Amino acid sequence: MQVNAPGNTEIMESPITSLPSPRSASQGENVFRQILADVNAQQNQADTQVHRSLLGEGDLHEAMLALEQANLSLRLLVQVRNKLVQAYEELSRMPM
Amino acid sequence: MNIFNTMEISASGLTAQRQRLNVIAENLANAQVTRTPQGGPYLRKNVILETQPAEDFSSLVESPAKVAVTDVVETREGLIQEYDPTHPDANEEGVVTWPNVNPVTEMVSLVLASRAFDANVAAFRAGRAMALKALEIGR
Repeated sequence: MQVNAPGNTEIMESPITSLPSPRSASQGENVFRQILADVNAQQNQADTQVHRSLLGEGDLHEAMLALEQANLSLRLLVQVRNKLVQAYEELSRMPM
Repeated sequence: MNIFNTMEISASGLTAQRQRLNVIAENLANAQVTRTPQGGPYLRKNVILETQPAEDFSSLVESPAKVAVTDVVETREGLIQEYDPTHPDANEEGVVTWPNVNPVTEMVSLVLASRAFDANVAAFRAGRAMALKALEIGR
């Protein structure tokens, strides 16, 4: 499963700095939002590092490490999302 | 997040080895330089690596020390004196002072720096593989 190819960083062209807070969110939703914000921040940081290394300001390996960190964070996010969906499906299948 | 700690340590190692490589390249490039802006032949440079000091005890426990290049020192030891009155940089006795750069030593340092870089990349890869395996638990 290739969720974040290194070339795909331009997707995050408009950095979302703050996510809108939901009206009375559940705890799980809050945690998910927190992770989402963290992953977004990491994607933005990877983007900046790639830009810096392409401009010759930063080291190449730093850009690659930032990309790897963003990749891992995104994978964790996808796993958390999978678990949430799984829990929801489990509940929706519950006979009333 | 804790897994990124490993990566930051590896990143510091990679940066340190890159700087070491820069200094070795400088030594090799200047191996035959007899005149420098500060006068005299080029002096061999050497990097001094140091573990980055932790701010306090808790940070020492939580985040293991990273490495950093603290200093680049010049050594005057082993300058080569050669009698060559025709050289423009010869002194009154006709002796030219050549840099103390030994290409063989520099090549060995180069291989060491390169291998150390590889080792840091390997450590990073191991950390990444462990993280990916950990993510596979839930699958």
